[in-house]
Amino acid sequence: MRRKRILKNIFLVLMGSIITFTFINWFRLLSHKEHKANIYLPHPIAKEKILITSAGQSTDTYIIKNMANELMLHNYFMPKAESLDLETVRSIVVVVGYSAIGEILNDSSYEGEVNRVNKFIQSVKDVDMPIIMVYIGSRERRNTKTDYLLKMVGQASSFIISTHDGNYDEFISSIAREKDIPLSLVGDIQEIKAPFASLYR
Amino acid sequence: MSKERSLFGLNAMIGYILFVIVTVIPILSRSYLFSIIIWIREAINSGDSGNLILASASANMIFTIYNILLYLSILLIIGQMKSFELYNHGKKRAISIMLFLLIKSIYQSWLILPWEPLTDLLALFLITLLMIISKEGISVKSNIIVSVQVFFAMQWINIMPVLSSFRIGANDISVSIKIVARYLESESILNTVGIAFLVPLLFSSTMTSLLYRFHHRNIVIVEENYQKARELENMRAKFMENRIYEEINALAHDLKTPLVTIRGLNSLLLLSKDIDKLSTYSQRIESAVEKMSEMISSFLYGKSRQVVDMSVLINYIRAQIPIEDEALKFTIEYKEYLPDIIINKVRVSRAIINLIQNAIIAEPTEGEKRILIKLESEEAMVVIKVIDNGIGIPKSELENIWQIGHSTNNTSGLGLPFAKQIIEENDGIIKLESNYGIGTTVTVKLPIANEGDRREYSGGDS
Repeated sequence: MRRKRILKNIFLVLMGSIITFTFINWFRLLSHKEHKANIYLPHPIAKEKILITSAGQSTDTYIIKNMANELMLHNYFMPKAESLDLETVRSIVVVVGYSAIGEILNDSSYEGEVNRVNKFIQSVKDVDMPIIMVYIGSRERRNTKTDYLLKMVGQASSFIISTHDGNYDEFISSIAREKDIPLSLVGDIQEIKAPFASLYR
Repeated sequence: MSKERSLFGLNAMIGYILFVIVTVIPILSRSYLFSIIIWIREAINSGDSGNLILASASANMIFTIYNILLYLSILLIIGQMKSFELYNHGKKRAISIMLFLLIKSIYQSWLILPWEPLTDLLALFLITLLMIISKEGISVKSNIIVSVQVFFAMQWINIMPVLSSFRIGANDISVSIKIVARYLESESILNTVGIAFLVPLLFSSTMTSLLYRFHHRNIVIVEENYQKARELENMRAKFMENRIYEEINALAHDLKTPLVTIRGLNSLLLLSKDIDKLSTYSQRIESAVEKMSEMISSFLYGKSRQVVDMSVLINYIRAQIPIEDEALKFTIEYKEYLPDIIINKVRVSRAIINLIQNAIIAEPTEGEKRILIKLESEEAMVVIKVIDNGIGIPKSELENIWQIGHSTNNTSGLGLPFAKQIIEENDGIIKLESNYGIGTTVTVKLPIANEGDRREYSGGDS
């Protein structure tokens, strides 16, 4: 009888906590939408045609490709871009986010991906092309593998765009500060459009 | 025992086969996981959140199947392993949960399988809770039914953006789905779809476990009732045995009368020198022996019949009544001439005495207990009525009075069923009428002996 009561109480406390935190989180999510992009460039820093590539092979890259199309930015989409792909483009957008399934789907591995990105960045540096790092994976995609890629790409970037929740621990801000790279933090993925467009127009 | 053992062996084999399937599934299902990613990309390209829901449903289904197979394989293997034989259900379940989480963590890194530790832990906790409620232990069938619902329900919380801050839905596919939902501004759609699956499935799993609990309770009740019925049957058998002893005692007592006669006549024989008297005494001894033989036959053979003179029956009955009781007024009313009846004398007499004894022990409504025995004839029957002024039987009890063991006055409850059985065996009719608070009348009708009976069973009542 006592055991039953204890189990019942545990269950009720658990359900109560879940419901309370869910509501708190809901309101927090709504309030986040009020954030505005905080950096708008006075003049463009990059030129079309853009090479959109991935560091980590997450589906986030496809979002940025879609966004670029919506903004009528002339782009070339190559998730596994290499130095040869640089010939026809004038700026690079690297969308960072590690996805294990994405890597397998693209016939790659994490180590292979790190090597590819590393070599690619070196090639971009060699031709002095601007790199724009975009991170829209929010807090959920942040892990040691993503962080490593963020640091690697971020340090070589000319501009960083991220959502607020992706920078919850100011990891992206610290990369930007360290190398004095302009950073645009937005509250919502859709809000990326504004700073992204201002890079080119 | 051997059947149980072979069943155990079969369960263990199924458990191991499932475990092999669980190991192979992540490799075989890769192309399926890729198609989920393709649907997510489709959702981005088309801006259609329908593709996102399709991707969510597909991911949830494959992860549910995987979880169920792993969970069942662990349950089946642990259930049959000798080292866990002495463990109770709680311990077995705790070990199952730990093994489940351990295997998934190993497979996650080894086979690149998306894993949600928090969701799985929550699902296992819920399954355990529901199985405790259902009282089904580690029964495979009930575990399948409950776990299918819970695992599938819990998968939906992985794709609900509203729960992201609890680190729920942190696997590759769930994160991709939620990010795309944010991009397509379809978070509320995913939350709603998630709740639409989660709530009914959890409700259904709870109802299932409650149904199992009720079923379990019903089985316990049925078993208890069966046990009680068996105990009652045993009790009845014991009462019946006692009744037989009572009947034997009565017979032994009745046999003493002709024995006394034989003894007396024998002593007269020794003293008598008159040859005429010797013949008379001899005839009387013969008659007494015949009477004894008849009584024994009546007792031994239920179908044995005698043509009985009603006055003999009346005297026999009168001899059994405790006339010394002053509070009892006992009257017998009968016509001078009553036809002979054809019955098993000893048995029917015992039945009628039983009815009279019932009337005697019935609590009187007045100070004086009155019992009237009325004898009359009608058509082919002699009617014997036992009328008393006892408390009577309530109307609600009247239906049950002929059932063995049923009693309204704290007796064995065998008297009336016994009497009914005997009367009906003798082609008679018995019925009981009672007015609660006024009294009871038991009517017994017995067949009148015809000429044929007289020829066949003559000399029975001497």
